[in-house]
Amino acid sequence: MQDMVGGVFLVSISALALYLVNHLPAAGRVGFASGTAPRLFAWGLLILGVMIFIQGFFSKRGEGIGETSWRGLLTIIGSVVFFAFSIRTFGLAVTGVPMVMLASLAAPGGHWKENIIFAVAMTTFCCVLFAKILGQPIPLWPTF
Amino acid sequence: MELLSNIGLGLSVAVTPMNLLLCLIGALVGTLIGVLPGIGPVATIAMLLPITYKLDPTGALIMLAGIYYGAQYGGSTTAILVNLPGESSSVVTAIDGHQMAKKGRAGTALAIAAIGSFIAGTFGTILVAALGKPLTQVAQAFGPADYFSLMVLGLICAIVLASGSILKAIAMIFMGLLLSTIGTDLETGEQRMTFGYLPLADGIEFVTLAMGMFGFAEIMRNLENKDASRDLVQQKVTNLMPSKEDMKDAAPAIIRGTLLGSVLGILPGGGAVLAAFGAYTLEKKLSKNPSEFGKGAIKGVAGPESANNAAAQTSFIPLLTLGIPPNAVMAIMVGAMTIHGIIPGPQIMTKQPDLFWGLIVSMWLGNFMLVIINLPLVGLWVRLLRVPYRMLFPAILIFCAIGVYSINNQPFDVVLTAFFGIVGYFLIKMGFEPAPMLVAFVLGKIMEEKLRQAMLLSRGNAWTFLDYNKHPISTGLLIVSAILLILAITPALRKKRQEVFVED
Repeated sequence: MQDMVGGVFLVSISALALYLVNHLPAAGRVGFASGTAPRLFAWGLLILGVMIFIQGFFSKRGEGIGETSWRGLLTIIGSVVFFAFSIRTFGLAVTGVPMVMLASLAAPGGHWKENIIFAVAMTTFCCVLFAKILGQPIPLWPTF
Repeated sequence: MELLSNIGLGLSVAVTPMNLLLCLIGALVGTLIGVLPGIGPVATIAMLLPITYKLDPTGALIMLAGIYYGAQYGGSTTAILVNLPGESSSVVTAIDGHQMAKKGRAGTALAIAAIGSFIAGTFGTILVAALGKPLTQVAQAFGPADYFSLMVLGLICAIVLASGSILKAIAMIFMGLLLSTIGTDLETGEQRMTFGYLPLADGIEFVTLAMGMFGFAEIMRNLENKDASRDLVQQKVTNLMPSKEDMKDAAPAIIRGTLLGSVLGILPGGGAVLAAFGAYTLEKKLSKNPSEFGKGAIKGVAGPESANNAAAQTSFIPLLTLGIPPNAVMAIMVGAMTIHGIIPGPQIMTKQPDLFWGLIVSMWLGNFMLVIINLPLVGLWVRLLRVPYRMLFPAILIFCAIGVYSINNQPFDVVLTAFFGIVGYFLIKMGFEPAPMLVAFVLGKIMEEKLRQAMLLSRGNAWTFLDYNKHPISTGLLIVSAILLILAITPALRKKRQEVFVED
């Protein structure tokens, strides 16, 4: 099962790549053009994906994929994406607190008070360390 | 004697108050982050990269090297005290190290690990210094075709040494190569697979890939094992000095581990991991009573720890002389160097000798400082290990997000990292290892460039790589690659390979 899903995944990635480089020349006057290497690698990946799929199809004791923890996935990715969209407008001082709190939700068990205190402390620490001590050009406060 | 004068030059660069301080801070924070369970050197370096941005290239490199060794030491500390290895190369240390700790010999295990690592690190550094010059000269004889074939050999090694399925390792290599072609074409300026999106025109930033695959994906994996009980050794760590008997017991293992690690570290593709596993197997085979392994044998700590540190050191050799990163850690070092405008390769030694020798001397200084700071600070690391994971990972996340953002001040990079986090999470779940992909990604750009140059020189004749009269080096390298690949898929060797990696 594991290998079958993996194979399909690789095949779809290579198919996407092949579609994206479709407009580039496949071969130049002396062998290589801009589209040659991506095509080469994509075809290689495609073949390997098929092979892994077949291997998974015929293997008797296929390993399962195991449960996916959607809670962790959503909160972690969500908090990072939130950071990306908020940092330029709201600055680190404002973005940091909800980001850390959202990320904390990934762990089971509500520790609400603790999470808030921790988020504020962590954000303050990052603001001082990165913006003040290290002088990173990261926006600190909201700019409208 | 030239070596001595070079080391003198290195000393004059490394032993300035500022650079010594940077080395110390690097080693300290590297250990601090590396001690945290589940965080290996790649994630540590990626996370701490932003603190070096403001430094000059030499200072930044010295600090990064310090961070690297610190992370390595930190990983062993965690392996011994909590049985939670932060990286694959300290998996083996955990086997006997943690058993020793349970028997109340945590101090001895930590001290032996530190002493072994220091001896191995010293030997490795001498090797880097001695081999640097001759290998650089060899590298200068390399043409585009030879470079390409050398990188093919490197990728084949990464496949052979990967611990899982060979087919999957090859797939990861191709995935890395494919990802590396994203961005503007070097010769024609055409956009490749960028969806017409401007921030992708420069290609994928290496740190986003590494941080997503090694940082975020790993956090999500860790959150999955809810019952991961932390088997922290509770009693106070005392008795840091190993007894005379312990030293006598461990000394031969340290020497063997050092030699084995030094050789394996030069090989591309996860040398440190294989070195640790190999050293453990070797010690077990040579031991008079192999049954004590797994129950707290001091040799089972001394051998692998020396081996992985020697390998960590010698893996700088291909990077500094040929510009080819042999493993994921060195790949991220390339990323870090590029950010500081240093292009790794033979030209470093000839054009920036102060940087080259300064780095080598500070490698040794870093190892030395770690012995001094790590053992007295054990109490601090133990306390750090008591911090619950639910507080650690949000802190790691915000560090990573700030770090990625500050590379180009580009929010898009942060989104991309999140995307790679998702991809990496599912890849790991489907049994793929991200490390070969990372190496392939870094090599991919240089590989395509050299491939196209070589093809241009041969007027489109692909057989030029195997033309013995024109490119004897390339031909030889490709033949070795082919033999290695055939050996790797031979059933007999495949079984052996599994035995080495399954040793617990």
